[in-house]
Amino acid sequence: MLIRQLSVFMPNQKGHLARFTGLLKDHAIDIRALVCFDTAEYGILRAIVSDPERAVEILTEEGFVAKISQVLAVEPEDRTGSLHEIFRLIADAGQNVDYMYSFVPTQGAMPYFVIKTDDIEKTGPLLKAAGVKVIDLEL
Amino acid sequence: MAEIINQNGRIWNRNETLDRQQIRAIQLEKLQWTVKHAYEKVPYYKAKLDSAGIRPTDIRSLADLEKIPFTVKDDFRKNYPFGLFAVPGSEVVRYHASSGTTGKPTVVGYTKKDMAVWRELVARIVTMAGVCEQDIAQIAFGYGLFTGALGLTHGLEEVGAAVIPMSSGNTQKQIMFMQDFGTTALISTPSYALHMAEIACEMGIDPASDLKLKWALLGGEGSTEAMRTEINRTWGIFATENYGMSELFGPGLSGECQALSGMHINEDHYIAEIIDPKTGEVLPEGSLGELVITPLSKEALPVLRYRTKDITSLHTEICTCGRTTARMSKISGRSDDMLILGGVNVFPSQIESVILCIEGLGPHYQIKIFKKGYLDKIEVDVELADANMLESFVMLEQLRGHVCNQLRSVLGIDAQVNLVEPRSLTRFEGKAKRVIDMRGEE
Repeated sequence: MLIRQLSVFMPNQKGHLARFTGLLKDHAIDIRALVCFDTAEYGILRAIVSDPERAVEILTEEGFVAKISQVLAVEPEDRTGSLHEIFRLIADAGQNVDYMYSFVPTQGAMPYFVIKTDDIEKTGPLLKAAGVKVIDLEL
Repeated sequence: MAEIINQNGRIWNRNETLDRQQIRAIQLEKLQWTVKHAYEKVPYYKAKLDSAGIRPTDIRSLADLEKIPFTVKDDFRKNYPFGLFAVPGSEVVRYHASSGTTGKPTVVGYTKKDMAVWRELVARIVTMAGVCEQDIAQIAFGYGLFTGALGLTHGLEEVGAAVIPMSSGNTQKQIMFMQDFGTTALISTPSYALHMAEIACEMGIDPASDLKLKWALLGGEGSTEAMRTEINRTWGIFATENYGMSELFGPGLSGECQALSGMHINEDHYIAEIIDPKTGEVLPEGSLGELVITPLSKEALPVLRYRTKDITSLHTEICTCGRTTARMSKISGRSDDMLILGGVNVFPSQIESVILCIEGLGPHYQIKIFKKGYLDKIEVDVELADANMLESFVMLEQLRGHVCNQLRSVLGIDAQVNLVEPRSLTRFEGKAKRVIDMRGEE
């Protein structure tokens, strides 16, 4: 139910993101989603890539701190309030959202929402039971 | 009351004006007592002297001092907490300690008599600096285990000055007290004195004309002549420097008089030598080298030939103030890698041991020190080693916060901690250069 996401320590320095994307390109690893927010000295980059294990390997070799994190991807229905239902369910279950972002898996498709909570093992079943479409597929 | 009052000012004790011969006679007699005391009461010193083949009765002249092995800071650590004490705990009336690595500070203790001597020594220093019973002295050193604040408190009270024990920080309140209490003497580190002047100006107060300050006694860290000139100018005061360290009572070892020709050493209570830090050989008067001090009056904690690691020179030409005691020049450096950060003594190795104890970090680090305004700013770069910290940003920030807290609680320094990538800090093949001190650069 959980999908494997890449987490990479990202110092706020010029060219650092390009070093990351360059490495993945050189090893023919496809980036499906990428988020990185504005923080002061450093942040954590999150990415959904075609071969996360290989990505961690090559990044670590090159001096990056990288790991695979288990996250949940859902596809909310295309109607007003569908996101609210998801977050209401998570909140009512006493779980906290660590971070989330969305991406479009293929052109023209509905966006996926990646969610990481502090109790991620329980979030998937919780949403599934409530009828939310949880993405099971390996991306 | 000062024993001598002349046109050049006051001298607290007649012993500061003895001729060299008399000083040396006192020193020999007290040295013999100190060596005997240490030998008989402290097994560590007995073993040290025995292995050097020296008995207390071998000390027949001051020249025999050279035969005695040095004491170093590490001897204090090895004997933590009370191994070097020469009296039972029941005779100790005060403890002080300086920062150490993860819970192993340098511990010092005082008997009632030690406290009286210490008070007397500091009284001389503050008198040299110009302070008398009319003065109101504001102490802006941090109180607590460090000897600076309480040592000055005792000496200032001894001369009859009124003490305001402000402690460090809370600068606006410091200025308010100066204004409302009519403070005439400031006791602080040179950099904090400059910082306070800036804050006063921001508050719309001209430190030179709106306050009553006349004197500043600077200590805890060295200063340049340029800093002193700036302090004198901004505050409209006469600033002097003084010197001491907790292993040798604390402040009170030496201080500048109004003639500003070096720091007068209280030679009836200390013997000063200058050695070559590499060979340990005693150097002739006037040579630049490492200061070695043998205190002569310490009951609770006798110390023989303590290597201060401070680089200075000694001079005995007569001073215009009337004192005959030897003077040490401004400390020009260290023979080890100790850093003085905002008045706090820190060794890079102490920072290292704090970092090594924290999980998730690599063993490499870099310390950058620079001036922000007049204050020391410290940045410590540490390498993130554990990818598990990437589960959430909160974990990363907690790790960083933990490093800051450990540096503050173990070493007493406030540092900005930066997490960097592994292997991004420079590796050294030989002696690592982990400290970049940019304070001297403009």
